[in-house]
Amino acid sequence: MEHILSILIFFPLAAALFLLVFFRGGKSTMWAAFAASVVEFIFTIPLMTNFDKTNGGMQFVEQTWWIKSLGIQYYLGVDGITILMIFLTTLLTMIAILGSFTYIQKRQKEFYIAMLVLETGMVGTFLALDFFLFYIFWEAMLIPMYLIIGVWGGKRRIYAAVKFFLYTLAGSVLMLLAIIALYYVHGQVTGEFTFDILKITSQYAAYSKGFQMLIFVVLFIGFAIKVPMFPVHTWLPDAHVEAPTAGSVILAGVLLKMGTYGMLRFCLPMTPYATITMMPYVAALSVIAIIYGALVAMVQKDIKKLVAYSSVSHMGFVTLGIYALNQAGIEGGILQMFNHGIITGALFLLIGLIYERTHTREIADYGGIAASVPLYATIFLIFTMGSIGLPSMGAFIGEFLVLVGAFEAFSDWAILAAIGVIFSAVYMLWMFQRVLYQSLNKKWENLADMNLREVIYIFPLLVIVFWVGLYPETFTSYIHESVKQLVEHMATAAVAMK
Amino acid sequence: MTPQAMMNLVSIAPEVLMTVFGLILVVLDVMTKGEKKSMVGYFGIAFMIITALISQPAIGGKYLGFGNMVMWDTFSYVFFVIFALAYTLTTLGSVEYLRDKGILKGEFYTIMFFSIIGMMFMVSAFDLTVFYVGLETMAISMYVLAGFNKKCAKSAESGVKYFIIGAFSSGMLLFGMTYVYGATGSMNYLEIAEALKNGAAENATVKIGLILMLAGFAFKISAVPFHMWAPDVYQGAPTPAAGFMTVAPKAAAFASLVRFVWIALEPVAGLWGTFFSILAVLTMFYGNLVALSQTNVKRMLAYSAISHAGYMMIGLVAMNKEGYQAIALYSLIYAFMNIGAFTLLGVLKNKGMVEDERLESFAGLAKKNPMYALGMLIFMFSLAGIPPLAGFIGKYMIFMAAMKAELYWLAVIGALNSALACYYYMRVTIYMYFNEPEYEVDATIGRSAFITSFIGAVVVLAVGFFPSAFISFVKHLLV
Repeated sequence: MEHILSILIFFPLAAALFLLVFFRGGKSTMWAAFAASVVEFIFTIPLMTNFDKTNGGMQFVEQTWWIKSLGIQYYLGVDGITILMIFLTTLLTMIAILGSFTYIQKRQKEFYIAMLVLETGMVGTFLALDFFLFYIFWEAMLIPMYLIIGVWGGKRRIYAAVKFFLYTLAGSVLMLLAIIALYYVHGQVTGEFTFDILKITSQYAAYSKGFQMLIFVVLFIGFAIKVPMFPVHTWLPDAHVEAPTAGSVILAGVLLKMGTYGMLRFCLPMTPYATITMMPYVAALSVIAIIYGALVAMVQKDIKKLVAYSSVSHMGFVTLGIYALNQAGIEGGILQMFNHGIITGALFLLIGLIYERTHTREIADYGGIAASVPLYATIFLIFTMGSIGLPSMGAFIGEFLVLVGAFEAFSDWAILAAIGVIFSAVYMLWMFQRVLYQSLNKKWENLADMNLREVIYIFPLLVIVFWVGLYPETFTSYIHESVKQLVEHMATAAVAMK
Repeated sequence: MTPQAMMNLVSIAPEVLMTVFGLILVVLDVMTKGEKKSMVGYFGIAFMIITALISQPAIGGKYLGFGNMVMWDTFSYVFFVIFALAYTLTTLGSVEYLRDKGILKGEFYTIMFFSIIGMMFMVSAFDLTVFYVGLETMAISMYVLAGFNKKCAKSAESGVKYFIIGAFSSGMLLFGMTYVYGATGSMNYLEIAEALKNGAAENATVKIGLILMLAGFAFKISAVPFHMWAPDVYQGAPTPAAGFMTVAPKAAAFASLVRFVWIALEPVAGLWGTFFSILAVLTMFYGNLVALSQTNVKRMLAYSAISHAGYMMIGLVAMNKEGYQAIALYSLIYAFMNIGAFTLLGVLKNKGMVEDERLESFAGLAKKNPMYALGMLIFMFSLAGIPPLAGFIGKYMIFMAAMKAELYWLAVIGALNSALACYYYMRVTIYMYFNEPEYEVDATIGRSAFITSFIGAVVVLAVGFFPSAFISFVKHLLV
């Protein structure tokens, strides 16, 4: 248990190297990659079970010098905010790899290597407690994702890959400067030059208001691009539509969460003054994202693009909850991050598997296929309802908590956000109706229903959706203490401000 | 021996040693024939290693000899190691290229070797005369290297062009020196500083002289608007020579510039600080924007070399020790990634229809030659400064220095530029990984090219993950 976090980070990388050296593509490579991702997922189980839910601080900490002369450490830890994200990452990577067996036809070996390297980057980003280390992992994710979109994507894949890369990079180079600025200011205040995230956070009171605003804005832009928030969301539909199914799943399921995770870990606690000042504006942007995303999703002709825009809308709920800065809001935000990963991931998988059979994603090309693929229709219906936020399913709990938190903090915005929930019912149900119901398009009469492999990889997601919906305590109990600490931290900062 | 004589000897010993070795190389060149000529280069590597092992100064040791004219210290040593690495990598990687072009001659190695002696003098100089002699030794060697493939019109053109513009800029530098000498009465850095402190700085003659000198320096580091020679020269020169020329002479020019401005011009820091901050901004933007529109990868790398000079200038403007240490680190890392990239570039051959280095030639290489593509991918992303590769560490140190000097605006411009630059480096990877080949290209990596690119890629990766060794290597370097 001592080095569990390092194992979690580097096992996929080691597996990728193993694949690189000993495999030559084809079936054996797929299974080897899948086996590696299963082992990685199994590693998260002792992490979950040994996690002390009554402790809101960092656990399983690993700390050693990396570049001592610059105050950079190899510093890892997991708390309530990240543990669900780790679970989500390893689960979705495993499922995405299983879901790619038939979808990825060319250069299979490279694809699975890219997926495993990406997993290292994602897990590392969530676990890093050193700013420099965090930044390295954050950027290191870009290259494999860029290749996944660019090599295995659709027709406009190159455009989408480059756009994804440059958008994220533009945000993150400025973030780097903010990190260096924090390093120097913290050094001047305490005399200790370090990139230790917890130490930099603990000195928040010493940062002047102007400095906080500056840092907040720069970090916020970097993270907002990743979320993505309105108006920097335009890379998302392109990247989602062009990426292969596994790429979309990881992108929607995990990469978007990096943005909101960054806000929770950095923006809020490090620059509380700026956060509290900017809170209403961020709420406004979130509500715009919720409604705008939903309205744009409504008019999409491509199913995948529709789901992509729905992500903009759903992630708006997450940011709204986080910036409500109260227990319900933040807890709901984190839970909603988790739910969105599960549900949208499942939707992308479902779209991907029907695309493999029909080679079209145009809504107009479908119609009535529920008659030929009843099992698929049932499962699709469940996730559609999940996405809308039907009670008894995960998203309902998340959105409910977010709205409770938001009402407390800014009731006007919360009312508007609640309207967004209705919109999401409109576009999801309408899409569902046009694709699966209505009269059967003769072309799809003999469409094959889901096979065993497909059912297997969807099944865990199905279980989790209901689990969160019916007994959220299993998951919220992990989050609870850490969020409580964060809220207290924000409250003391608010008092100190006055 | 008197202590003074001992000091003199120590201060110049590495250069003397290198000169003796250089002369031995000339003899070796006569003794080898045809295919064996590469032995000259390998002996050169051995000589460099010997010199590097023998001449390492004690930490903090400063050996200033010959009436404060030549200095041997960690600063000189670190830059010598950078030159030696550039030489080693170029020599190891160039054999096949030179053989293919029919220019596998001993001169290639001896000239490079002697150019390094010139660079060493530039860096160790504490006196403008010594500096100038070193500069010319280096520059003349570079003119020859640029035009080394004399049967190829482009290479000859590049040599002549380099010579004319180089001579012009040297003339300007010299002209500036005379003004400075006229007003301060000395060629010695320490005495110039003394004179400037005592009021000579107000003198218009000194100002004109200094501006001319700095412009001369700006030519050597290919700073915009003194860069016009660079793209043509780099493109025309034989590819391995171009790799060497973008790394070693630039590092030497930067090092000597740091020495000169830190010691001689310390009292007028405001003057050159502003001058170089303007140049840095221009250089970064110009280099990157023009590189964006290139379709020839060699020319693109030439413009990228210009933009990298811009980043390094930020370290100069920062005016703190982190700044020049960052320059040293950057040069060190740049040697590995740029020579690696140029070596791989030199491997690429079309079947004679279009110029070898066109962007289209890279199309689909990932499938046909995955190792080549992977190597190029590593170098490109490292040049772009994407972590966890070495190029990022270099840029990071530069930004750290700028932030420490509270040059926020310059750091922001640098950061935005490195995002901008990403696109053209990425384009090479786009062609390699995402496009289908358009015509037949031969990208078989020969043994020597493999060694250099392999060392380059491994170092780029290793330094990205474990930069401690490199950072502590430059940490003790003090002007």
